[in-house]
Amino acid sequence: MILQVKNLKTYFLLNKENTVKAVDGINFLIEDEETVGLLGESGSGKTVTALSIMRLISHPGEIGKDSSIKFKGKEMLFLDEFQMQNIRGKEISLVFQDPLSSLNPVLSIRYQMQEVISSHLKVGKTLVANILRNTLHKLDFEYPDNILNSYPHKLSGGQRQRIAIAISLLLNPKLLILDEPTTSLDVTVAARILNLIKKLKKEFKFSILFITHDLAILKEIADRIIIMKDGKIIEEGSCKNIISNPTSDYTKELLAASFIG
Amino acid sequence: MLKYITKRLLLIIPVLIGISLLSFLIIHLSPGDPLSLKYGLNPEISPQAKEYMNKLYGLDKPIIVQYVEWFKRILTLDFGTSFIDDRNVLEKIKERLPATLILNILSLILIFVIAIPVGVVSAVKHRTVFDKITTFFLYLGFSMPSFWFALILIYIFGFKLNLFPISGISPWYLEFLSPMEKFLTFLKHLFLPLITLSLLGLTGLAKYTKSSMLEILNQEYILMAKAKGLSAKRVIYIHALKNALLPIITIIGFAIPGLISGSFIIETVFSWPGMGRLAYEAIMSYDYPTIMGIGIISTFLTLIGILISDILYAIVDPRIRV
Amino acid sequence: MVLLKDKRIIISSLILMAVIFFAIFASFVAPYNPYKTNLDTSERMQPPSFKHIFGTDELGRDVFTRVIYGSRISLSVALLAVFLMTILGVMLGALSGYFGGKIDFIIMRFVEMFMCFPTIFLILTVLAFVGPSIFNVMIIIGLTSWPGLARLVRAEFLSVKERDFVLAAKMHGFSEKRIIFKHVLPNSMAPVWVSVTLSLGSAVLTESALSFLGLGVQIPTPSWGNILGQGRFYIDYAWWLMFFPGIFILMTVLSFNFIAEALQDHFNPRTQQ
Repeated sequence: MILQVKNLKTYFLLNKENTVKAVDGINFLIEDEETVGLLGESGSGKTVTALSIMRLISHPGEIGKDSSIKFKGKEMLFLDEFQMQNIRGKEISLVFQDPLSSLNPVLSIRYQMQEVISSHLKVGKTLVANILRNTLHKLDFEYPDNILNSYPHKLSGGQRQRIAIAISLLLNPKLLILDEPTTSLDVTVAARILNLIKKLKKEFKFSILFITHDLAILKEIADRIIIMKDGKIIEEGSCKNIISNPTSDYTKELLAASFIG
Repeated sequence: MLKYITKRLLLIIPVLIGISLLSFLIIHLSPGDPLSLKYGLNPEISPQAKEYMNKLYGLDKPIIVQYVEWFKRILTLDFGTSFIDDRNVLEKIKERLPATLILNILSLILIFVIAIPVGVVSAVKHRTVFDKITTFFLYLGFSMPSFWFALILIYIFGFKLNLFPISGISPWYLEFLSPMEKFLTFLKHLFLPLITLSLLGLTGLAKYTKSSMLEILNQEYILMAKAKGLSAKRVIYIHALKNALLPIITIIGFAIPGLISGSFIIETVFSWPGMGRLAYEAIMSYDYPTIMGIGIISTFLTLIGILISDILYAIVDPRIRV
Repeated sequence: MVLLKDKRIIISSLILMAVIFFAIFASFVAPYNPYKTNLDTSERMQPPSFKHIFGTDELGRDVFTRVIYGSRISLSVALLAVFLMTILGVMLGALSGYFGGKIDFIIMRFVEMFMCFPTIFLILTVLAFVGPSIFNVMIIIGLTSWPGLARLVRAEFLSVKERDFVLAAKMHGFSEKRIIFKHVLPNSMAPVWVSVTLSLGSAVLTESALSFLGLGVQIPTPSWGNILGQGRFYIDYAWWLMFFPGIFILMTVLSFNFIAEALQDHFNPRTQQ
């Protein structure tokens, strides 16, 4: 079991009267080499869940005192910022929805990739260069050096997202969190990337937390599905069961809406 | 990128034309003709002398011709001779320019060196006590009349504490000093005007840096940088700052007129022998060749500053480079 | 309204209301006549005392009185100058932003021209040539500050006019005049209020600088700037001539700036300071 989330509560205290309960007491776990889909519509709390796992929640957001997030058996909420920095990008990686806004426009691709390695490991320049090239190769980039010397605004949407995924895999994380990775891409590009993700998972053997509002995608890629609404988990089960035998009404609505059920 | 620079250069031309027109019109706004400003209604000047002067300054020709002559002379930096002492205007300006340049350039450096870190730290420590205190002082600086601040400093440091000289650039006994002593006394004279200009000038930049940083810190690529496990220092100083500096670079050019205006008042209060002080004297004496000369030179300096900041921006922002 | 609860607004408004009160009711509040000189040496250059809480100046006039009357001048110059600036700036910025093309090009060249020129220098020159007077000061400050506002308004117009509700209005066949005034303009005004408030502060600063240098409000009419200007020569002895008018300028401008800041936060919570 790679991740165990117990009673996760993430509240945003906007002002004295107004508290937004983005995540309101959820429990779930992710096993080794498992792909768990986190399904929900906007505002359901799925992104906040991902950010909470990464401890990237800042003022006015706060994670509940009696919540627990255990990674590889160790309680993460007790770790200090330095320890968390060690984990982020190395043991757990996060890929955002829109690679145009998640890549820094004024830094080269090479820089944005290499700094992940050099921030976590003491590695010589040649080894870094090799890691970069190899990883880019695995992400279907034929001419890695051209890409490395380039900047985000020069690449296509699909290329950018593949770079973002490459960055997340540089240090072989055990858990990869993907937050709507294909939502901002064209359908054919999205399909390519999904297949790429499946291939990479087989090779690198990581677990995936796949966040999306699109049930059709999860049908292709998820082992288990968790459905979230208004900060709570409505239903969860194996991919097959959820799709063929949904128990909650909300799930049934979602299925109907995506033309699967 | 070359195209970008050429485009910027071309846009300067209308501005030049406009400025020359503007300055030309200003002189002719005055109730009398420019010459009577010099000679007044002095009856001793014979009509023939006046007529000669008219021809010399081309004041008897139609306005359009006067303007064309004026424009030609601007391009060759020929501003004629000063009404006050009949010396060549360009010479007078050249004499005073170094003092102004030293004051302004040093001030600019001080402002950048202090304001940007203050702005960055304020943004990062947003809403903390540090931020609130700093913001309050920035507002104070923002709202203070520069000449008042100068007078306060003069009163405290000049009179009460007698630490620094309060006017001019050198004491009367300058020639008796060794080179080292000369340098030291120069620094002493420089201190008060420099502090005044810099302290008040940095408030604007600090505020601007802070709001630029705040906006950048809200961007998704900053969150991504954190998600990659990068240290806070790296996130702030490399990822955030590099982006926040871009808009700052664009305003460097336009900050120059503000600086010149500021040093104008400061030079007058501290009797600093710079171009600003020269301008004040010229304005008070209706010495219009000098006034025009200074105005045009200031504009040139500004245009050069704008060009430099545009080029710098093109170099730093990879979205425009190449 | 949340705005009214903001501490900055409350304190700043109180200060400004006090200044405005002084300006309007100067003749009732001021203890002495601002123009009456008293060359008796026991009355000249007196430090602050119970009789003259701000002291007296070199001609025996009560400084407190002159500062109060000065608020009248400084405020009215600022108000009228900014009024002129607003009308010119909004109009030209709107035309530039809405119509684009040649109009935009010409107006923007003018804007750039003004921004390349050191303002104080320009103002002083013009004032020297046309003669310094309160009226001229108002006009010239207004004429030199409209470019900044015009740029702002133009930027707003450029983005607002692309919005869907404007396209909808066009499809309904509304006249351009109607679209500009009833649809685009009201939605572009938010940054204008902020800018106007800031300009009020800077107009006060500019007027006081001009009067300080002798080319603004002419003595004996009192303005905060010229009291300072006269007092400058006695700085080593009569600190009160310099201190009090300066404080008034500072408080007034500070209030305008705080209000502008609060307005900015109100209209755009994301950039909250």
